[in-house]
Amino acid sequence: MKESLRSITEQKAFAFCSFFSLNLIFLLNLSIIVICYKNLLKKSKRKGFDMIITNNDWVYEKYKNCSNHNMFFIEGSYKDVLIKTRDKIHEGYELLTHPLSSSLKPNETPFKSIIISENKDKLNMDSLIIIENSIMSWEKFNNEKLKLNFTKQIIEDFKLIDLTVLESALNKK
Amino acid sequence: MKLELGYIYIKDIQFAEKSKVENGTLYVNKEEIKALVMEDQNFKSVEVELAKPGDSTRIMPVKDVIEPRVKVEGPGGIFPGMVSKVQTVGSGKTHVLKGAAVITTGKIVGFQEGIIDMTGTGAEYTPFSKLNNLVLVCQPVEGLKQHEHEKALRFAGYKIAIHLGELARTLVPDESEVFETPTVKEGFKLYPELPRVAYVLMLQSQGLMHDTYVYGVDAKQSLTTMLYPTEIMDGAIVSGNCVSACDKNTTYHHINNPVIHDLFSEHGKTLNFVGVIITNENVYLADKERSSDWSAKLAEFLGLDGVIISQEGFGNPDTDLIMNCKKIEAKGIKTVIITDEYAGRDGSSQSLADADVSANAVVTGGNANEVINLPALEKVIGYTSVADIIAGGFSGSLHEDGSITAELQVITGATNEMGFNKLSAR
Repeated sequence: MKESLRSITEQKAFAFCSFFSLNLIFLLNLSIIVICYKNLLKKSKRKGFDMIITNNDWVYEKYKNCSNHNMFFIEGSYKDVLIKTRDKIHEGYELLTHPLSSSLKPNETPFKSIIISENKDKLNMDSLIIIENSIMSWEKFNNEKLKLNFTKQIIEDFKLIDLTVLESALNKK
Repeated sequence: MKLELGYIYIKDIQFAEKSKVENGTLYVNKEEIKALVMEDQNFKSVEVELAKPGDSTRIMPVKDVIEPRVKVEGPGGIFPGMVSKVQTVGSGKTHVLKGAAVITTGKIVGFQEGIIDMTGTGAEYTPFSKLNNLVLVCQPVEGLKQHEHEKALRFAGYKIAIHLGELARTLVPDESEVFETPTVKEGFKLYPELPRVAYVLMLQSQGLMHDTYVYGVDAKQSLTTMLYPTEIMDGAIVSGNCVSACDKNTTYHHINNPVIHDLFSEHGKTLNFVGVIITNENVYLADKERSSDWSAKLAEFLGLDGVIISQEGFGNPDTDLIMNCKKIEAKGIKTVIITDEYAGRDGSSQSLADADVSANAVVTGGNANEVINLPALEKVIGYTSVADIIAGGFSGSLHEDGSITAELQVITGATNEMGFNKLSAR
């Protein structure tokens, strides 16, 4: 009798433990799923994810296969890069680097690379003011066309400066 | 912290068998200088030239200008963390070859910048036309990358300036000047009635050819911090900025920073000069927010009443300048900003790429877009052909007779944003 009672008690205890363990496993799995989902949601906002708008093929070639950056290559001028950046800011993207980076003036170098956020939110007024002022500066400088004849070497040097200035920001992120 | 600067006035520079300073003349052994530069295997050859005030000489493209100094008493050496070992400088005694400079030139990239004319119209715009200059024209070995070339040239300048500075070690200065900054606690006690004023010194820090170093640290990697003003006089800050000749701060500008000198001259009389806050000008906007937050925080923490802010460069730094100004003013601290202008050739366009109502006290170094004519000079040290592709130059800048028509921004130091200018509107 005692044996059978003990057996029943053990079976009940086993059943309870099994039930508890299964629930625990279930809860753990649920937590993992929730954490993974949250991480998935956060992924696009993780540090290091962004969009590079550039007309510099050196920048494009170097970063086009880099998973941290979305590339937006423009076959156009410095001003085209500024205008595309402004359009993106209108859509709600945030400016991450200054559009007038480098002391090379907007009527000297033909190349420009700008980093914006990968995701859009509501309109960022700080970004908007900076890009509008930058476009005004571009226009001011280009009222006086320099008509410079650049050699291949000089073109490459401009690309290098644009690339290295951009990388000074990428390395800081 | 207390530093005595002993000035040995240099009125002439000549080549000679033996390098020495005698009766105000700096004698330089040319071969000795060449051998020192050529210790760096990055150079294929070097030419050493002299350029004196009044000479019919044009130097271009200029990379850096450095004043020879030597530390004769106190800890550390000139250019700590770059050439001398890392140790806090700014106290003791330093000798200066006042009136002499080392100038580095070189074609690091195809487009170039920076003219110093020793006579004529151009000479009026640059303070370096008044100096006795030793000019290094360095040729890199084939295939040397731009980064290495820039660094090699920079270090050649420091090395030769230190070599010449050593000539002053045992000399008796013609004149001495003492600069002393009390601790914050002492300052409060000494000058309880005087307004507490600091200097926010913005450092160029955007990347290749746009860098500044503090005790050997690339400024873009540093948070906003503080220095005693005299540390800067011993070369704690050096320039690696080779772009935008008119408003770049050369190493000469840093060690002779006129804002620091003028604040010292009023220290204990009309104000209490508390110290220097150094901050960077990175291209990443989050860095700008962080650095300007820290400038404002330190200004508040020091209990300041007023701040003078100087910037370096155009465009991107304008945003740092306005952020610093706006945030410091928001703490109830008065600011004056020093800048230059790109207001178009007729001077009618907006001068800066950013603005704010709190920036209501501004000192300008001039309009860099103004067009000037530089006469042909007899001798050119460096490379004349770069005139057409120099910042502020344009196609046809260089005329057949050797004269140049270009914007003021071609001239090294012409619109300096520390206010180190020879001309003024007064």
